Amino acid sequence: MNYLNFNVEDFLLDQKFLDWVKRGQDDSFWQEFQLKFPEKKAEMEKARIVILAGSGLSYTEPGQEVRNAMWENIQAQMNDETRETKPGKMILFRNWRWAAAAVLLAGCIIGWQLKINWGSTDKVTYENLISYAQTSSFVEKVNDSEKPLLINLPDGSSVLLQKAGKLSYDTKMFGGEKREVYLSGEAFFEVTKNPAKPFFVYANELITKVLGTSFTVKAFPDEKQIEVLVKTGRVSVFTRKDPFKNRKLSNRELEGIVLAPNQQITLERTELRLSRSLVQEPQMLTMAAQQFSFDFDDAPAAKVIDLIEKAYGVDIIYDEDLLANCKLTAHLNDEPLNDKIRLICEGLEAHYEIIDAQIVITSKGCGR
Amino acid sequence: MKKDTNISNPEHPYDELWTRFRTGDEVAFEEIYQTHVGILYNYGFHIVANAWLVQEAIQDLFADLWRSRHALSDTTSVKYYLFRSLRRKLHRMISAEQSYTEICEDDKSYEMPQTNSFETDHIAEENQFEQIRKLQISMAGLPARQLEVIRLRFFDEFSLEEIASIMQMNEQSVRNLIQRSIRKLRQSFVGIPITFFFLFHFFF
Repeated sequence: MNYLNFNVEDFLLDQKFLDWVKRGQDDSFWQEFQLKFPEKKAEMEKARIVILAGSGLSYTEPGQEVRNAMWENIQAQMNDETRETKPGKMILFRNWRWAAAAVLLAGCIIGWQLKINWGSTDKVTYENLISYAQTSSFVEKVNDSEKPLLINLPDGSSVLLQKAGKLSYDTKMFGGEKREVYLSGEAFFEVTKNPAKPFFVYANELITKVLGTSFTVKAFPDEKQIEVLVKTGRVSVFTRKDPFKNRKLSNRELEGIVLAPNQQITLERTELRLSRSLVQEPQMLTMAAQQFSFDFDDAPAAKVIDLIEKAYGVDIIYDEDLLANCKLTAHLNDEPLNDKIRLICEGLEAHYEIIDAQIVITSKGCGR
Repeated sequence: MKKDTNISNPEHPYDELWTRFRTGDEVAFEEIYQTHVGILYNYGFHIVANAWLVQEAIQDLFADLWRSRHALSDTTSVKYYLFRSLRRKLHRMISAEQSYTEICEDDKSYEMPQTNSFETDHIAEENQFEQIRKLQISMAGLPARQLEVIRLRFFDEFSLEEIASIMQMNEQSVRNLIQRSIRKLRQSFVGIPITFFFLFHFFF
């Protein structure tokens, strides 16, 4: 290395020089060099000061509690191979990330389980809720049919209400500062994104807050549990007795227990305990999936794949031309998605690969 | 062969960890996390001073890493790989946020330099403590990217090549950034107290 031609930048970028300044390595070499070439001393000294200043800049690192909480969150995601990591999907969650910035400590410390001190154990029912919410502009949809009922809300959000379910909202208030609906029973929500107007689902003792995402709420009047299952995006969940309830109801942030895709939360109504867990299998869109039959008799492969895609909300990538002549006979019931794909691929003599939330099927075709 | 030498080479414990992690060893993975979370957080936090966002990005980064471990190759530097990925992730998150105004080319962050670090204590006897402190204050006022280069080089000790790759620039542009920041820092010395002026006159 010809250090004689070095200027300040060159010294700054030289690893041996950095090792000397920061750790005193090869000290005799550098001392000697300075003596031999005093004309270099000024530049070396300048570089040295810059390095010392730069390496002593403020350092910020998380404390042990935060590190551990982060590690737990990572572990929760680690074995959840289906979680969507495609950049395109991430857009869903971006806007509120900033809004939710303040949540940080609360979210980290809460961890996986949260005990709630409940003042009284009075059950809250749908009837209680709407009794003081009711106005002349209040509408209620009741699904007394056997099939799920599709409800389109004024903001473009859609709700698939399961049989015997009830959903109500105030048409005048809805879409004002916030979007609020009341639910009894089970429903699958697909909420139009609007971070400026949070969407609230009031279901018995539980309040679910989202900015735009899809999820299922199960809140039956006589059941001991209330469940919230997240299909995409994130939702914040809290109870009516939450000490910070008022703040959570009035701001635009997602805080408290925030659920990521394929997580679910269960509220034990008598123990008044919220617990969060991973949904074991990629959740089927509760209602949509029930409408599909998975019994196929000599059916076109493309049609089968299409149905699976729709039922699970996953992308399946395959060569349509190659599979054009392929037919499938399969009886698929409650196997996990991966098993269904495996069975289909066995029938097609094809290979498959699951990459993030995408399934890629490679086939030689059927050539019939 | 390369892998074998890495495993048996005590000089490169990270290489061994990386190899173990890629074969699905969760203990190795946690060690990689625990070893790097501090410096990653520090780097991320100085890109965007938002603890929550940085935490999310780091969590996503490691979760992605685990899920894609089969597809990962041998890496010469785990630290470099993680820094590069974190930066990409953070910038993706930031660029999606239209209303985000805190970070821009001429961002002046008002962080107070940490003056009692090892390096500064180390040389305090030469009465350079004050010089360095002044220089650090000037550094904190540099445009974000110039400060980022300084951190990556002197704090995290990445090579020119690595910095270029992390910041997705060519090496010459990184050099230019360094040159520009040195020039700016030099200007900032004009205003220092007389007592120190002599010293700086000598050095610069």
